[in-house]
Amino acid sequence: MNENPNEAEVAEYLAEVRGALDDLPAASRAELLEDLGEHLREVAAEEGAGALRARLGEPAEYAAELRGAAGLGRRGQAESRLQDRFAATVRHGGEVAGRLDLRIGRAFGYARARDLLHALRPGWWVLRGWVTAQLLSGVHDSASWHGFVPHFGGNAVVGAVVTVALIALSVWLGRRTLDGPGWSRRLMLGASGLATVGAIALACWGVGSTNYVYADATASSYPTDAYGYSAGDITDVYVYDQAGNPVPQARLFDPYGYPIQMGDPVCQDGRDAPGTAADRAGDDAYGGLNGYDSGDGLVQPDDPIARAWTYPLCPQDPGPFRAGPGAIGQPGPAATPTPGSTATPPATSTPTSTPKATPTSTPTGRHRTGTR
Amino acid sequence: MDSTQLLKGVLDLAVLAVLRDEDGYGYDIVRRLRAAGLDEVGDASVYGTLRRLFSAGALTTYVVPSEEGPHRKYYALNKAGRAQLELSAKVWGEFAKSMDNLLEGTVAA
Repeated sequence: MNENPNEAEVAEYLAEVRGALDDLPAASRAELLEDLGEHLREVAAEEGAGALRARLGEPAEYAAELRGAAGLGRRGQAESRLQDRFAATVRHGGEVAGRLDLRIGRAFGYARARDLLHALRPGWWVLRGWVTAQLLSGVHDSASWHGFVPHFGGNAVVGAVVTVALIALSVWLGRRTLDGPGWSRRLMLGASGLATVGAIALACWGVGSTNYVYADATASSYPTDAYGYSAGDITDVYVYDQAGNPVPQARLFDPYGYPIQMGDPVCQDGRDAPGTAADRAGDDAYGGLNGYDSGDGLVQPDDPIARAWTYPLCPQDPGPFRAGPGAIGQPGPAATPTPGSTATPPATSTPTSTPKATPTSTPTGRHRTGTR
Repeated sequence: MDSTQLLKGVLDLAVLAVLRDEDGYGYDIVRRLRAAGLDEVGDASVYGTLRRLFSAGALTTYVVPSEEGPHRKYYALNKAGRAQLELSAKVWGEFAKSMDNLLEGTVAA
């Protein structure tokens, strides 16, 4: 090859063609240029000096023809073809979404799924307001679930008012956004998306932390029973029969045979409440009575009745009423029943529910099937 | 009429046809096409077409060392290439016949 007198011309032409292909991926370019040097030398040898341009045209033209014939597009098209591919992907995604839109919509009796979603929009607004109220309530009242109506400061009425107000605000916002300009709709859409993600995250966190709170409360000296009865506000329970007589050593059970435990196991004078099983069952009291064994399964107490707490927990503390056949209506220190009206103390409903709550049959049998 | 425009559409077929009976390297194929009467065929077009047919799986390549010159890359038809040649030839045949009929009619009219 060195004998070829046109080597310099070949090299120059080759370099220019290579330069004109420099936008291609290295592999494609190498393939295209693979035979070129040899080709150029042959042409040059055949035609003599200065023949390359005369015979093959300008290097740029040659390069354009080469890549065109190889199906690699014109110069600068490599990137735009990438853009085309992206656009095609987006278009394809849009078509798929459109087909789904139609198919799902038809399944629900609408022309399009988006019509169904539009119809559901007011429902979503209401739900949004309610969820916001629940979340606020959770933040406000340390993340405990009070039920359908959120509580604020332990108050369901305030909770209901706040909920209605938030729902109204949500609906108003929704309607306003609907009528508003495009940017505000997009802004609202973004905010809704963020809020949804946040709500799901909060809800997951709330569920997790709620369980944790119960487990923790069981382990600490602030007892709740394990099934969601909040003992936060109740330090003791006094049971009265229908005649208004205090029932000593009463025991409470839920319908599944689990003992209901609420109240403070430490009495006002600082001693352990004799009504709790702490006295009777020793160290095992909490674990056994709460039916939990370090959270990994239920541990059934041997005799739930014997091991249930007895109410009042602190018999030496004064109860709300000193009621009895001879002393109906005498007010205790904690409440003021209407004197002389009825034998039933009006301030508590506990007495009537007592017979129901106390299992009369064999609690052990039902107890084992309880799956809460 | 510019025959390079016509050539663009049938260059694949022409290259496949040239390789039907004998393998060839790039410049050899250019020469054969020219010898067959396709004077206007561009070197770069032929090289590009070879590259594209190879990428599409219609051709195989092998390198033949040579003593007096550079090593040459030969192109050969494979099965897919022969199938493509057959199909394209049929399409071309029908197209050419239609054109012939059309032109004869025009001349006759």
